[in-house]
Amino acid sequence: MQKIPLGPVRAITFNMYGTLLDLVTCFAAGFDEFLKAKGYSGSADDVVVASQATYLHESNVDPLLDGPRTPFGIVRRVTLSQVFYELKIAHTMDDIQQLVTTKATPTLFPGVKENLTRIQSLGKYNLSVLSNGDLPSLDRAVSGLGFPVDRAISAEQAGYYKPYAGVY
Amino acid sequence: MFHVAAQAWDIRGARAAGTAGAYINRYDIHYVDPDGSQAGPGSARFGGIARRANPDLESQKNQDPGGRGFGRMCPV
Repeated sequence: MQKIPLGPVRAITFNMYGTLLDLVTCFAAGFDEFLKAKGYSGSADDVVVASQATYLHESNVDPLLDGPRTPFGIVRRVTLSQVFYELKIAHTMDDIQQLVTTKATPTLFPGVKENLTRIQSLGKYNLSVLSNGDLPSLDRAVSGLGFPVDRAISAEQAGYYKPYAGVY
Repeated sequence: MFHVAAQAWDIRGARAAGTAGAYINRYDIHYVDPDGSQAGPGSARFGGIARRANPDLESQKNQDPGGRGFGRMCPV
C-alpha cells in the first residue's frame, strides 16, 4: 500500500461533484421516476454515472473551439439531453430543468463532513473545494451543506473547466 | 498542494499542473493513467487523509472497513 505523502502539503483541494457529493444519491430517485415515466427500463444509477463521461466531453468543447467557457448549468443540461438522446429517451428541456432542480437531493457521501472537520481542526492545511461548478451555485452548495472548508474555488475563475491545467 | 477527486481525468489534470493527487474510487472504476500510473482498489481510504494528518487518529483506521463511506483513496 502506498502511503499518502502529506508532509510537505499545506493545501488540500477536493473535487465536489462525485467526490464529496454523491451524484447517484442526489439524482437517482428523480431520474428513476422520470425514466420509468418515459418507459425506459434501465438503471437510473447507470444513467447518472454514464452522464459523467458525456459531461467531460461537453465541458471541453469550448477550448477545442477556442471559445469562451459555457456556463456550468448549460453544460449540465446539454449533457443530460445528449445522454437521453443516445438512450432514445424522449425529453424536453423542461424535463431536464426539473431533473436538475426540483428532483435533485444534495447528498454527501457518508463521513465527508466528519473527516473534513478532523483535517481542518489540525490547523495545518488550507482546505478548499475545487469544482467545475459556477461560483454562485458552488458557494450556495458549500455553505448550504455546511462544508468545513476555508473556501470554494470554481474553475469559472480560470475561464476553463478542469482538467485544463490552468484551473489547478 | 494536494488534489482529491473521484474522476481519473481530474487527477490527471492536477498531476499535469504539478499537483499531487489522490484518486477516490467511488464507483469501482480503476484509475489508469497513460503514463502507466495506476491506483488499484483497496490502496487507501478517504478517512486515511485525516488519519495521516493526525497520527492520534491512526487507531481508528479500521472503522471504515467497507470503503464505500469515504471511498478507497489511492495516491498517484
